[in-house]
Amino acid sequence: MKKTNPSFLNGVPELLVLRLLSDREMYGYEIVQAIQTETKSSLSFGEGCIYPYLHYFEKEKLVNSRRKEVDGRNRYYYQITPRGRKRLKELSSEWSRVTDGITLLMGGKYA
Amino acid sequence: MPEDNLLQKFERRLLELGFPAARRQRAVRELADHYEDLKQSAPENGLAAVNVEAWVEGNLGDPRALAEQAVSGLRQSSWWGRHRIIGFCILPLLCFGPAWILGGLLCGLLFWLMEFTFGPAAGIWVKDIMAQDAVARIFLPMFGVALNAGVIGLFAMFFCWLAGRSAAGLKWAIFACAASAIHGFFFHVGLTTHRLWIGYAWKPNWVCAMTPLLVAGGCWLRQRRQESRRLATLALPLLLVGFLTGCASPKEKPVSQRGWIGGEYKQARQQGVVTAMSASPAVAGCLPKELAAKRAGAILITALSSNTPVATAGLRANDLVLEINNQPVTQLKTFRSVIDGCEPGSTLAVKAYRDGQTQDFRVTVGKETFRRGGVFKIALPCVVHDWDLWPNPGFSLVIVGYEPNPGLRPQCNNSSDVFDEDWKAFVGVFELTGGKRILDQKN
Repeated sequence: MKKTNPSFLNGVPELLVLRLLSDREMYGYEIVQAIQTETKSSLSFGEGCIYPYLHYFEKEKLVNSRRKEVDGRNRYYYQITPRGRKRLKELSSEWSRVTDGITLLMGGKYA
Repeated sequence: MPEDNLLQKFERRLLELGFPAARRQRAVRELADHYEDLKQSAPENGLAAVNVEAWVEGNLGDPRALAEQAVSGLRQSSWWGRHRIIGFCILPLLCFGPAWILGGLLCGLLFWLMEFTFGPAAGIWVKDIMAQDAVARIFLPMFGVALNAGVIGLFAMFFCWLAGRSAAGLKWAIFACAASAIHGFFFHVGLTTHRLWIGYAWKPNWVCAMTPLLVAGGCWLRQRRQESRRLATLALPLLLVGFLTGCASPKEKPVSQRGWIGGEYKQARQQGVVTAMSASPAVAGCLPKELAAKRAGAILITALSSNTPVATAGLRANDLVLEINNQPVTQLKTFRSVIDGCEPGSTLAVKAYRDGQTQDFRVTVGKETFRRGGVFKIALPCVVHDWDLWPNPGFSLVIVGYEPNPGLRPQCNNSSDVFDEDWKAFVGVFELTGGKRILDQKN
């Protein structure tokens, strides 16, 4: 059976969030700002969308969260779990494989 | 305040979609925090104060869409959220029996543990209390109603909790309660002094049917108390009235009647190899030799209450009925069919054998009212059936079997819970019985 690339289409938010959290723990707004800064605002999305993703990852045990009071406000910080690191590794290699393929095609006779 | 509007819209939509309360508070808190952060960063982006709120709201996205996305994410992360039709429409119908088996086994284990810890005296003490007249008459029926309502109520509440936890929403919680109510309509938990049984019957069980609907009403009231208070305050008392009506258990109208003379009977045969091997509960090997020489069998009266037509006519226990309506009877089924066919109030000529003498009696036939029905039982504790390979109408291979009633009938003795079995089929712990529920017996 031929392999498909569902992660290429569905796993992008997962890849980005896990990659950012692999360096340090972050909260929602911080993650959104980091994505926009690191990608030079090439990705645009409703910032509130990040929370359903974070909650889903937490339910899947890819990330942990802890509540912290900062300036009188409750903030939830997220950190990557060992399971999340494993998933990040899988997604990164899948991403590299797909982008290598696309780069080859784009640089070939269709360039 | 505009931020209140956005957050309120977000929270209201989450509430409508049945997002669990704890998660809802957290999602709102996180969004509010994000809102504040965006607002504080607005001057850095060179925005004028009047445009800040519109910019922040634009950046965060449509609150309704965000709420829907949050609910969808939670649904996708649980099996109950992904398979709502199976989880909340089909499983409530299928799981109640197994849940009861587990519950029954747990009760059995607790009882065993109690006897193991405190000795056999504890079990005897409980049984003695249960056998007391006041307990059997007053408290057991009350406990029976509480058991019916409590068990199915907890079952419905469990599915409502699952619907809330998986963000499936109120609609699916109500579906689960409705499925439980349909199921409960035919489901019965019976509790008598020496027996706890569960099963299905055509007789409606209003307590079990109304309890899940009350649970659904409670869920609805809890979620929609702001918007639909008037409707909920109207619906809940109606459901409560239904429940209380169910508790009152109005007496059913009798639908059929037949002749009745009272007493318990067996077929009397001469003691021999065949009688010993068949070991049928309907056959007694007690036919005297002087009768055995002339006939194949007779009908033995094994028990007789004093207020029955047969006793009033002068017959006694251990008499042998030889003829009925001037026709010889040797088979229990023939004897039963003659009595069933008699008109209540008519007179029946009975010839009986007592102490070596033949005597004639005239029995005034009484009336027995009954309702046909069936019962599906899950035997608790597991009933072990004997091997029965003897070629009679029924058979038993321990876990699979079919047993037609050979003609035995229980005496009613003014009890309202007597079931006259016509046949019984069983597979493992599941048992299906067809027969008649005796409602009344009158001279």
